[in-house]
Amino acid sequence: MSNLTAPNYTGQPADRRALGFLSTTALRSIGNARFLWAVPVVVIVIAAVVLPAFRSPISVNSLLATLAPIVIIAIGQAIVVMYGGIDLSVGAVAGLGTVVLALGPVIPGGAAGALVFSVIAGLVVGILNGLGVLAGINPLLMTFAMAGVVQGTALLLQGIPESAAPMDLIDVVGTSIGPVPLLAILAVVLLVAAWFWLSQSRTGRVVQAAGFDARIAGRLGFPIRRTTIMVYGLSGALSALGGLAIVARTYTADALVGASSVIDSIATVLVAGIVITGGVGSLLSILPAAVIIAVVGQIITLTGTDAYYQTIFKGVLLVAAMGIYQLAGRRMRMPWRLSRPAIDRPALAESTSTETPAAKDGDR
Amino acid sequence: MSEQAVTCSHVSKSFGATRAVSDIDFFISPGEVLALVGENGAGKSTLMNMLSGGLAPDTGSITVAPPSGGHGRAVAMVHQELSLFDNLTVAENLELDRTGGRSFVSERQSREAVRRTLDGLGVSIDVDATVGDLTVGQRQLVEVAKAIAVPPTLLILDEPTSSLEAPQAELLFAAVRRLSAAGTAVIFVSHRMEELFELCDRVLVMRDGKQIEFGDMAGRTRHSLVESMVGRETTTFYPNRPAANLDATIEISLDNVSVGTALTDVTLDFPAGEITAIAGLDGHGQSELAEVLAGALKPTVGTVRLRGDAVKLGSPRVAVRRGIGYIAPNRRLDGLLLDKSVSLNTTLAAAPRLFPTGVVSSGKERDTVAGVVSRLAVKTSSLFQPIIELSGGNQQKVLIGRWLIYDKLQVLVLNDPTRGVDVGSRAQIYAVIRELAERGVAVVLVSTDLQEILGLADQIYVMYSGRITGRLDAEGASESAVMHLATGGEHLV
Repeated sequence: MSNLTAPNYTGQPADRRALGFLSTTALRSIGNARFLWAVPVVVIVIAAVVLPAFRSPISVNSLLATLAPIVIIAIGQAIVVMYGGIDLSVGAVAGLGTVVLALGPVIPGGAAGALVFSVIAGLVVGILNGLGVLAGINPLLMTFAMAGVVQGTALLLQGIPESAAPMDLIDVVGTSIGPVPLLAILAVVLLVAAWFWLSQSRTGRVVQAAGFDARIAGRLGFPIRRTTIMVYGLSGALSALGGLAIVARTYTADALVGASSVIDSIATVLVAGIVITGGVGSLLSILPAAVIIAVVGQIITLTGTDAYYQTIFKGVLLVAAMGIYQLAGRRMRMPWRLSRPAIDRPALAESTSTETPAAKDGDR
Repeated sequence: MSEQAVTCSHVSKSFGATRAVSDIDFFISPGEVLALVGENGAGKSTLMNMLSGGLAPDTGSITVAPPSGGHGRAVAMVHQELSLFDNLTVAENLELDRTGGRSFVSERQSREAVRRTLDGLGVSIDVDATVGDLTVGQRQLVEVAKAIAVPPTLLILDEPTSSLEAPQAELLFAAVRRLSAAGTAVIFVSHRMEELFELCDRVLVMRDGKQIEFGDMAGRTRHSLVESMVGRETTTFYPNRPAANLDATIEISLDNVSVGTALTDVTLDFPAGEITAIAGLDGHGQSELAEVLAGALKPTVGTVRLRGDAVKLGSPRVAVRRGIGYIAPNRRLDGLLLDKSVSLNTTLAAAPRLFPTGVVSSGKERDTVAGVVSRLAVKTSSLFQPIIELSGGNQQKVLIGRWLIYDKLQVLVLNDPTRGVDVGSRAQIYAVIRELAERGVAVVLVSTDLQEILGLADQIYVMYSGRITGRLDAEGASESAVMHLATGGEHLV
């Protein structure tokens, strides 16, 4: 009888009074990520002390403007990763988004119409990704192939004469409130909304559950088709919106402008501690992870260091983060080779290898 | 007939040429508990899947009365394989399963409802515990709680006690009794006979997809049930045991072997020419023990000895070269190249011995494989048919045949060798296992099928919680003696 009660787990206990309306798993995920929040604080403090230029309002503004597209695109990527997939087409879709924005003078509705079309274009690409994944194509391959198609299309559209960087649109969305760009605020609002949706809505729960073990989710009759299309569609739409944030910062609309978005978003998501096999992690952790990447980029710019170091840094950061989480006891495996569900915590004695999925062929 | 909870009239279902279920005809009244018994492969799973709506019958009809409360589902099924998500909490798992309602979750209401359900079951599990942190038994209870959160018309429990300890099983029985008193019909599947007699009102016996008996449980004896399940004298099903050879050499032995928390301080000898069975409830370290012997798992402490010499079996490849064959429990994942031919799958292990030059002689290959196919009566259209097209039983025969032709074989480790294998194939597989033992091979049989262990083995070791809790001579061993040791009881003798 002694083991009928649950074992003590080492997470943040849910504060029943103040935050009782939030899911225990969501609160526990935030608790697990509390050390991650300390890292950008330390980096910012050091940068602010060492580099006086870092403290200037212009620098803060530019830092936040860089942060916006990273966060917006990473939200979509994180939702896909939570669902056990991956989206390699985010960069190409961001590029496409900017190119469509530049079509403002050519299409009906002008700049506002272009903005709507841009997001719709991203949504359509995402839905196509979702359909491909549903058809049984590995997400890695589906979105990789889609990236090629989208980038080619964007390059073709770019050739349309009279298209131009949408300056009037940039003037509106590129404004800042004090040193804070409007788009940075939008990014944070989107992040919190997406986090709340993923942890509290029924669909969000299905994303977490099916991302952790798609086989059980299928057996229980969860709406897999709808959810898959929604997840990839969201990633596409958010990537296009990320393209808008890139245009507002760089004043250029170009098919290749999102080249670094793929590694940025994947690095952000994985540094945030969202497990690549799906179902485990907190979307809110995207913020500190993105801040780390943006601040280091800013430092590299301010110190006049060669910008190529930034790419090297992201790669190293990604691997280092994986190593740290590995040491922290999380098991990471590639989802496309997953034969049984990964377990976030070290398995208990009773739940080890004998729990392999039962042979389905038998017992007829 | 309308007052019956479930009516199943003349239901049949085939998969390809195999008739999985044929002409099943029974009914359950509200509040009745029906024992569904039959051997593995008798068609129980197919029938349960049809009742729960997962499969449509080819002919016949199934009628389930709408649930009494007007909401919830008509049929709830607890599968042998759990359907919980380890990354979410108990409350979140149950909430996921709730049908209807708002699109955003109210945590307070959800926790409260789940707590009530668990209390109703008499279980004290923290609703905020992450399911991945629970023991298998606790998860099983959560799974049951999920099924009965809203009382269904029919509750199907497929081997619900296989991972429960006695007090937990009692909680489950109490919950089943409460539900049935409230009018829910229950179908109960278990290999533990005493549970069936304790809990069930009626019994439906299936054999080879057919309905053998349907009637009241009262008046049955364990013996008569087993007889109608198996359909023949149980003893003839298994090959005869040779007289015990007291001075058999020890082929392979484990010396104080521990693996993490799964296996603790195991010391065992496996004599040549004998079938040594490792019994126990699912997940008490038997699988790990088999994997250590097969070189698939490294012991953290202790040594493996082959004929007295300490050996390091770094990988299954090393083990095979030393003459140790292994049959993994999941043949599709770990045993077979599914798209390849019967022929290739058969010669996989023995190939270096059969063709020492490295060139495959097709004549020799054909002869060898044809020998295996006829010896084990493998049903295949040709030696070059992809193995995925064969039935589970025939696939398993090929796996056994693979070791039959490996002349260097000295130890054969079988991990659940007849899971999902039909009765006919079993007899042939058992005969070949015995033949291998008579050839001098030390056979290690890990299985959760008690009948198989009692029928086939020469000696039985029982495991509980990663430890060996006792040894029994198979001759004269009883199911209850094994179960006693397997549930952590002290040695009787």
